[in-house]
Amino acid sequence: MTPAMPASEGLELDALSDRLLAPVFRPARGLGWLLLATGAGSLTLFVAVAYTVLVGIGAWGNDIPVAWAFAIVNFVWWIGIGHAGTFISAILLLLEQPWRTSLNRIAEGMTLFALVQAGLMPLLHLGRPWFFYWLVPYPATMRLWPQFMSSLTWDVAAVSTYTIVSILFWYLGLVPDLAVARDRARTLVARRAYGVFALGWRGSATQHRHHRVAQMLLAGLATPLVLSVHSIVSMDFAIAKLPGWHSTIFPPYFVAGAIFSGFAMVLTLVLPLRRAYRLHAFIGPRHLDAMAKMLLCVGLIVAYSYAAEAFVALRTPDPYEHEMAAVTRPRGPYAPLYWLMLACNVLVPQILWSARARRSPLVLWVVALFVQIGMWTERFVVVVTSQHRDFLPSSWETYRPSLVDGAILFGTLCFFSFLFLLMVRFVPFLPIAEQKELVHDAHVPL
Amino acid sequence: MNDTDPHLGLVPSTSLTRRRFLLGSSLVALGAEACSKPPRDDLIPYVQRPRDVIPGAATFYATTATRDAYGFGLLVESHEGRPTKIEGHPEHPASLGATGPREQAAIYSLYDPERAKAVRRRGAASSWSAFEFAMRAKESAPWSARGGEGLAVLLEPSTSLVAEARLDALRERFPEARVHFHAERSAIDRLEGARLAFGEPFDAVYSLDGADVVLSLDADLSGGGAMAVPMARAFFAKRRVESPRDGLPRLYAVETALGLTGAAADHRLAVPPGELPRVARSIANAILAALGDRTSPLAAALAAEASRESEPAFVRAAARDLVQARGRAVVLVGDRQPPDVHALGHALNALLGAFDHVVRVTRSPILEAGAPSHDVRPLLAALDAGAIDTLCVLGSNPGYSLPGDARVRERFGRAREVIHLGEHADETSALASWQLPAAHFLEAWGDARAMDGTSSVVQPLVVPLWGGRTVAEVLAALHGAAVRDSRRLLRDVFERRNVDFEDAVARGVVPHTDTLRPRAPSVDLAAVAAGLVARPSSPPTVTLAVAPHPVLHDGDLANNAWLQEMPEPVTKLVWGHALLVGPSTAASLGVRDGDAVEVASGERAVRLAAFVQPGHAEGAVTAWLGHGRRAPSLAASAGGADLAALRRLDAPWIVEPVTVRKIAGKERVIVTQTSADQHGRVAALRSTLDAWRADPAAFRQANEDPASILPERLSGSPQWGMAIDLAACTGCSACVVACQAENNVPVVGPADSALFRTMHWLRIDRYYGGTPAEPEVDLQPMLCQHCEKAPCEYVCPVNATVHSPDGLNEMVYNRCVGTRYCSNNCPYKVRRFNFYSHDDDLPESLRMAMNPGVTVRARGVMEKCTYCVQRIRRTEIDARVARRALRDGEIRTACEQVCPTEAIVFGDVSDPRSRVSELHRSPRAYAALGDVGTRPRTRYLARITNPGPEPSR
Amino acid sequence: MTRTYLCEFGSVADCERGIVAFRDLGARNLEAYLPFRSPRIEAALAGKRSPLPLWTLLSGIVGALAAYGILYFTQNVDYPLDVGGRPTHAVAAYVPITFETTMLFASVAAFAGALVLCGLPRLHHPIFTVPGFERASVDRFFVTFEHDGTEHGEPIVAVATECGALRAVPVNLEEGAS
Repeated sequence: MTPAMPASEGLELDALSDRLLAPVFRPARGLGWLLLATGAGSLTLFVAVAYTVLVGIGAWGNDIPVAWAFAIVNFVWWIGIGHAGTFISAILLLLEQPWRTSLNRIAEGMTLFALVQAGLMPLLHLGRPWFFYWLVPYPATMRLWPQFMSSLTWDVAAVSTYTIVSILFWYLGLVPDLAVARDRARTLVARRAYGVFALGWRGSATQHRHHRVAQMLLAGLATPLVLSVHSIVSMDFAIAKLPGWHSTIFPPYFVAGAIFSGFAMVLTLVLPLRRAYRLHAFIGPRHLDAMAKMLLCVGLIVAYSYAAEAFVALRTPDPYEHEMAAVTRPRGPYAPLYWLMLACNVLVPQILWSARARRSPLVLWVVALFVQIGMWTERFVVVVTSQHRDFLPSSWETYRPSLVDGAILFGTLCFFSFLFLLMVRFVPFLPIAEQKELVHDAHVPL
Repeated sequence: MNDTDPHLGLVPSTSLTRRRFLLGSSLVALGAEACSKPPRDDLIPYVQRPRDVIPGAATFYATTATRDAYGFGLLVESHEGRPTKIEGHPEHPASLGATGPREQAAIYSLYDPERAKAVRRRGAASSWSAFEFAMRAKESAPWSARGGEGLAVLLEPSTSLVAEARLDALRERFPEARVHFHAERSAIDRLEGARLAFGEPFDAVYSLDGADVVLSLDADLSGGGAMAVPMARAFFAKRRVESPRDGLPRLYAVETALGLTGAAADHRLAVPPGELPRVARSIANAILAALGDRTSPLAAALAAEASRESEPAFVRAAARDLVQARGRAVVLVGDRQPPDVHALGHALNALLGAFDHVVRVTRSPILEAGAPSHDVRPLLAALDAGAIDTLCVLGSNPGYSLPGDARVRERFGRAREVIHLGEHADETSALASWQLPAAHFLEAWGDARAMDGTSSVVQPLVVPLWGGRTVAEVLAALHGAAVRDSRRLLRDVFERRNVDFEDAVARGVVPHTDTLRPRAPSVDLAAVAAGLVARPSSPPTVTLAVAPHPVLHDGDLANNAWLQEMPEPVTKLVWGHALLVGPSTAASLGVRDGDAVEVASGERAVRLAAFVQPGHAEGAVTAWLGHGRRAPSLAASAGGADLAALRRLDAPWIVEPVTVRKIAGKERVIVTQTSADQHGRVAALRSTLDAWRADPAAFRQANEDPASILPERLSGSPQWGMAIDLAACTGCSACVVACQAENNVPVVGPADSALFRTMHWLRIDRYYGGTPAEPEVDLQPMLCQHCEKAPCEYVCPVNATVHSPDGLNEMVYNRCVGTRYCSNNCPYKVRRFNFYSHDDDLPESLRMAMNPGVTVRARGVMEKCTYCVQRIRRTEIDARVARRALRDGEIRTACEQVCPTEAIVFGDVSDPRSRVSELHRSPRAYAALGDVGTRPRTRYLARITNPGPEPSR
Repeated sequence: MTRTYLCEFGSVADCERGIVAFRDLGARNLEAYLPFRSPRIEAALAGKRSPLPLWTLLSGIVGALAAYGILYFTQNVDYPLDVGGRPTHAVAAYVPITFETTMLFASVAAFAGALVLCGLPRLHHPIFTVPGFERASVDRFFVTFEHDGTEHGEPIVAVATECGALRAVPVNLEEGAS
């Protein structure tokens, strides 16, 4: 097949190494300022968190009936974003999609940093966060165990497993390239630092062989994980009786949504990166096109999920589900958000049917932003709208986020960007070994 | 300590600490700290435990509260000398074992951190002895030399024999002294009407168990009236039909704003307050016509006026039913009606043969009932004339509650000395030169008489926390009485009446002291006719109806956080009042809830928040008293407007004409329920008698559990359950406050109430059916249903809410991490979350109100109704100790025990003979939201109404 | 006597040819160092089948059993409670955690196993002392092997140069050699 980069140039391998290591050894101008800005922004997160832990959940807008709100919306949103990484690097690896190589490390990094934000939320969301460990089984003095029928305990297992596996997968792929960085480092400090993280990789054929096997295994394991994690997150809602939550369609619906927002986030990050580091050679129109098609395709699945959910709810004899779908969402107090969600997630992506749109970075970037907003709104609609009007009309009340809620959302965005920029600065985010392999395969047909 | 509650804006609490209080000797310490002299009675410190006090075990003492001066018997639960919970006195005719919200909340008033805590002289700290000295000294009390000339005493109306004795002594010592009672106009008009009808200011007592048709002219069947409990219990007992074959009494109600009586009525007519007397007359006219009386002076007087307008269907129907049910029909007239309407009511009752078995009368136990001393206007005139040297205001707060044209501020200024005895630093004490702390009735010796004359004892549960004194004691100080000790005086008074004092104190109620007249008194119809005041048909302007706040009364309870946060039963307003406006009036004004409106009469105007109230009479608006407080306090934090500016002494309840206009801006309106439509869900079911007779099985399906694949896990006995009869529930909300007092439910304050974070374990849902103009009101107490298949339990990740073998849905506070998933999954939304720590910043004195049997919940944990598990376990233990089986009805939840109409029944559903099992089998029984498959242990009994053929409603 | 040789190549093809040639010369413990994975060279070296998949499988099974065991023990044996009237042995509810734990154990085994098989972490290795070896991660292909040949290893050098090797030198890969 055709290589990931224009083959004709026939870049020499060492030049290629330099080229791929450039972002690390010759960071773009202004990156420092960006780090500073996002770092400062992250402070709002830490302040808001400290305040919440200090005074209690009352600092937020939550009430009864809307006992879950921003924190859970953010949690689901960030977890969802976390999915594209593993999806790209694992599933596309198994499917032997060579175009993934230039993207997978960025995507995996993004996954990790999204998981950091996500992991923070359910913890902070507890009324007594300092007892979070009561959700894991350990021989407690109270002799009590967690209650494993609750999807929240499943969450703990799913999210922690997913985080660990993502880290392992990311790091495993990184080791050979860290070795390259080690061997190309100009300063002793850099050499030592990269040397340590490279674990002394020698690039022997044996190492390469086991390395590849392990990678394939992890990819194979990560694939069902990707699908399971958001399925389980969706069960945080699906196992409840609440109209708007109590739905069997949730797992596939949530997974699609997750990959949808994940790809959108990848685009949001990759396009500026590509421009800043002139990576057009590695992330070509072909990649954009493939990403756009993924986005469109997953978007259609999401659209189908909306349709299916509404259809089932409207056909069911259950009066509560029916009112939720027929009245509360389209016409209730939060109706504008519902329609915004449909506009962003169903309408906007349709532009990607046009090939020209798919190849235009600007259009892609804007569409990606819309999808991000749309997906966040979707989680708000699912979480808040369903709670605020459930069974007993006497308890129907609305919810308004507080300043702290806003600060936390803004803070996570900053913190996420901060971590991502750190990676861009210090980690070879374009896989070197794999690129070389591709180039080589391209030149020397077997 | 000086911690202030951020939510309540409470003033710093005092140096009093719970520890020092609980060490028994603290009682002594308190006495010493409060009044600078040793306590009056010997108190034994718990370090040597008194014989009859077992630490940890509650003891009950009988005492008496008052409602509009009439006695209301209580039993008060006390833990190591700490009164913590109030129950009704089963032997007292006004209580029958039940109470209302205000009695429940008296515990808060006792420990209210804002109570007046010391004698103050012109703002500076002083002492009782200094006060007593001043009252004896020539120069400071010149009137003492002139036989009391220049001394004026203003008291609240009272039925107390001790107070009477003190007053007699005062008059003896100072014949020239003026004594006035600051009575609400309503009390005067009621007795005035009685005088018109009977020739004497009688009190009328109604026993509605004899009534099949009741016409309420702005009367209050279920509120805080002196005899509301027996009336409500008797009437609503007849409304809880057991089978479609039974009959049902019919209730007609005429009122201005939608009240609980109107909500319970089968037919309701909403009219402006000025129109109500006219309606009363046309009904009376129709009745007389039906009775064939066209000649009597009364008939003539009525006919003359009635002929001027066409009678609405309501009038015809009411008159027809009343006459048909002759002998079993009664007319009730609301306190705020003018004398002639009261008189007309008595006349109609006489004509309908209601006397003797439905209505009985007695000479009012109110001191100097009907005497001119109950009118404050002469006192005000005397102040104007400068004839008053020393004005002694004992108990009431005229500085706030008197209408604007009383010009209290200016007139009180004319007196050299103004002495005020009150529980709080309020608008009156601000005008006073002597500010004296009043004793709470739980700190006082005294007595009170019920409307039927029954006498009962006021017994202290605790030495005055802040050295307060009673009215009688201050009177004693005024005339330098020989007997200072109220207890001794009470003993003397009782023994003079041959009452065994010790026995009376032990029982609380003095038996055989009721003075009801068994025979029908003669009603002078001619006098009633002559008394009728002709009213010009009011021009088409807007009338402002002024009413006491349904919960906070005229503001004397406004400093009580429990009552401020208790949702007003109909509007569900908390922490404030509003201008209640009918739907079409609101539309014409273009106002919505929370819009600022200005109500102007002449040049005087007040700014209020508009609140659209379905069923409110058009052409009139209603505003409640008790708000717009000036003194910095919790009461003031409720905001609102003081209506005094608009009110006049001679017509305090009606202001007309007024102009109402929308003005820029918003005003705070906090409601705890915003959706009023049931959306056809199985919440509060109702039916009419006819419809139910047509389909007796109407509710059966809603009482059957849907099929479930889950195993049957609850077996054995007992299995706890509850039944709530919506036909009997009046919505009075006594249960709400009782639950709060019993279970240490925190108050969250206005800010968090507005965010729907109130903590009540038991709330009363209010739904509207019908049309905005003529709503059908459904009231439903909603608390944890203790579902057998509880959705809240299986979603808790830490086993913090699980099921007990006897069927309780248990909440384990110290295991809860606060995921709040249980609340999301509760279809009834009865779970409450501690968004903040409500305990940390609680003033020390309020901690003493805590029930030691119930955990105080920490921040970040979920809580909810436990079926009063502490009461269940306590009784089980007692039974086990006594080696006997539990008796049905032995365990009573706080809400059950307090309910005036016995609408709530708790018991063992595994015992087919228990009352609760019987009720669960009733053809009216159903499970709220049973279709969700939760298998609730609490079952409701649908409400059956009995509207006549016409008018529709 | 046995000596260790190191040859440097400029391309995969040369490297591959070299490996084959050296084996024909009787070279032992052939190992190649290259900047990226090359199936052809791995084929030429004819390494054994990796045991990693088996380890992963076993570890996964252990994880599954452990998870379900804990779930069953805590909810049914040690402290059974009536929770919402549901059965304590709620198989369906146990599936997610069991699955996740399986994946976790398997993944950790795959990762750890890979490190073990690759002999990592090992920050220093004698071969790093070979001058110019740092290009092994960039653009050069090295082959090391043992051969008991003549004093100066002429045959090796000859074969190497013939295979296009850039150099072929005897090296000392003993621990602590420099």
